[in-house]
Amino acid sequence: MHTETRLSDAEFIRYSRSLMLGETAEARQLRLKQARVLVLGLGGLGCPVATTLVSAGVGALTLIDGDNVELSNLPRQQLYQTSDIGKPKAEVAAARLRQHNPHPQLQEVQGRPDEQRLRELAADCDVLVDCSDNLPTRLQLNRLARETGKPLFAGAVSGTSAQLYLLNQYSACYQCLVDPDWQVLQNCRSLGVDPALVTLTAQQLVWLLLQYLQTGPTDASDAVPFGQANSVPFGPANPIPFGQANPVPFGHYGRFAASGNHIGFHWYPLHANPGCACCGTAQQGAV
Amino acid sequence: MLYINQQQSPLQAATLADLAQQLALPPQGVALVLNRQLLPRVLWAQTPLSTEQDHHIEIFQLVAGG
Ligand SMILES: [Zn+2]
Repeated sequence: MHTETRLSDAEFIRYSRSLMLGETAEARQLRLKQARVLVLGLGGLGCPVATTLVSAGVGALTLIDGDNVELSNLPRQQLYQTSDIGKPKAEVAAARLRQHNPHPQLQEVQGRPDEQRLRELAADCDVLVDCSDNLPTRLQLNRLARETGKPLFAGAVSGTSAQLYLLNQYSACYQCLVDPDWQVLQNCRSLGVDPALVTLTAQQLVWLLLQYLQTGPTDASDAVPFGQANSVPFGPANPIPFGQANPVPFGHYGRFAASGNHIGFHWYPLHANPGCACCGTAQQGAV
Repeated sequence: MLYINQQQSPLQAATLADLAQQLALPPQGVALVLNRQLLPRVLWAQTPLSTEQDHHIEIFQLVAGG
C-alpha cells in the first residue's frame, strides 16, 4: 500500500469518466491508486490485464516475464509491435505502459526470479495475478500466495478453453485441485489459442480484480453475496460469505462456456483437499 | 437420474471414483463438478452418488496456459 491520499489535477481529468460512477467513485479511484499489483506473465492474459490496470489508474505494478517477443505472440499480445520481435517482454511492456499513463509506478522484472526473489516481490504487493503459461509457475505462485497471505487472481487458457480461479488464505488452494505431477499437454504451443477468448478472459479477471481493489468495507457490506442469486451453496472452502467480506468470489473456479442463453463464466466453489501438501490441515499441523 | 455434461446418462455408480473409472477419465488434469461443487480428485472415492436424487455432473479438461 502507498500512502497517496489525493488525486492530482491531471489525474482528476484523466480519470473523470471513472469518477462519474457514483458517490464513492473518488474513494474507489484513490484505493486503486494506493494498490500495488504483481502480474506474473506478460503474454495473452498479462498484456490486457496490465493495460487495463494501468489505464484505469492502479498505483503501482510489478511486471514479471522472462520471454522475448515472438512473431506468433502478436495476434493476442497487443502491447507489442512487429518491430519489438526479439526484445524482452517486460521491458517493452513497461515502456509502452508508461507512454500510455505516466502516473502508475512500474517495476519491470525481466527474467525468471528465483523463489526467494519472487517471495520478496509478492510480499511487496497487495494482490498476485497469475497470467503464466505453465504448471510449475502456477504452483509456485499459489504457494507464495499462501505463505504471504496475498489474494491470488489467476487466468488460464488453451485452445478454446478458458478458466479463472480466485483464491485467498481462507479458501482452498490451486494445489488442492491439481496434481503437481500433472504433465500438461494442453498448452498454447500444442493446441493454439483463440485470440478474442484470451482477451475476454483477461478482461473478466481484471474486472474482478478492480472490484476487489476499489471496494471498501462499507461498499462490501451492501453488496449482494455472490451465489445468492442462483442459490449456489457456499462450500466448506468458503467460510466468508462473498459480498459481506469481499465483492469477489474467492474460493471459486470459473469456466467459460457458451451454450443456451448464457455466454460467460460459470463459477463453482472449489472444495479443499484436507491432505493438500500446500494448504491442508496436515501441512498446517506441521508448522 | 445422472446427467453428465447436460446429457442424461445410463451409468450407475456408487461413488464419483467409481464413475470416473467407468468413464476411464485420465488420471490427471480433469475437473469434476458435482451439483455445482468442484471436488478435488482425492474426495471422489468418499463422495457417494445416491440414487434418490438427480445428480448433475460436469467434467472438463483443466488448462494451464496463458
Ligand atoms: Zn490446497
